Amino acid sequence: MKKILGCLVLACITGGAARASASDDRWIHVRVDDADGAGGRVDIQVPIGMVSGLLPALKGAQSRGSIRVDRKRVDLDELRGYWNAVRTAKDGEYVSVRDDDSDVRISKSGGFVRLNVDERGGGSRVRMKIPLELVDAALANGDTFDFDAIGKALAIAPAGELLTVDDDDSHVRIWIDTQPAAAREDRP
Amino acid sequence: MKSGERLALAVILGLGVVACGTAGAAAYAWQRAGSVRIAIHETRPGGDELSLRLPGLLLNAAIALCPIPADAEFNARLHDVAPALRAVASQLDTIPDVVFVDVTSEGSTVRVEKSGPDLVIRVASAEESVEIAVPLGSVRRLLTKLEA
Repeated sequence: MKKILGCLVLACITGGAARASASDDRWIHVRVDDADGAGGRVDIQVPIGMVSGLLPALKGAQSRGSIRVDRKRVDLDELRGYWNAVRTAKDGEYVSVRDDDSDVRISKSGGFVRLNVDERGGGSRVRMKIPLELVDAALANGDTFDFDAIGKALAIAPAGELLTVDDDDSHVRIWIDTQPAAAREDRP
Repeated sequence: MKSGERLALAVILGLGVVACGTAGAAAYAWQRAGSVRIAIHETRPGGDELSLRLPGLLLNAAIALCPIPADAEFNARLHDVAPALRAVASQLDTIPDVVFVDVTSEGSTVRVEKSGPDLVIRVASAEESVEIAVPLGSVRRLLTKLEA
């Protein structure tokens, strides 16, 4: 269950980092399935408009306005510098790392930042597609996350897949759709 | 008919109309407020079984009458989450029936869903199942009161 909760935290952050183009009748879906055979799973679906409204509330819980990022681990200023360079550059593949363990590719195309990770030997497989506006919003406010901005960016995000992670422990999928999905056991 | 009798008849008819109107309005308000359902079922042999159905009017009255704690920290926190509460309250009515949260872990299931006019929370495990249904109108009243 801790893995599921961990994935949920990841899902919230990543889901809060999406972009949009449509109205408030779209839904953001988060699905986590444990792969350990115990059948653990989490399904969450919420209207985008509700998420956009809820995100700013996080600032109240986290030091009035933001969640602080541990600067020992992530230097956001440096990250912002890289991001500004990528933001203004042409579409293309910016990072490509191949080693004995995995293939990692980071690219920008069609208004999205794409991260693909494939571990060798049938390990983890990650596909992440984050709208540029969402990264802008996430990195806009000093060394904190600006949830107001993230909420607004999310409110205009287009439908589609945002994140899929498949590994030995779990399968995580986050996507935006135009309608809610039926509960899994309720489906025909 | 004497004037006194006419007056008495008018009074009686007036009272009848008022009584019928009041009863009709009360029935409408009762029906419109829905009901709060609480059901607990223990699956073990001889386990307890509880099924409670309260009129939503009582819950609405409780929401209206119960004061919000005059706590500065609580109020500050409430002020922070007020926009979120507003967002939730404004959307609950307009969205279709849907399961918001469905979590299954180690044989237990927790589900939060909108079902018709109710917000329903279901918790099921091998030992027991609990179902709580609260009218959305009452949820909205509570959110509005907290926001005010």
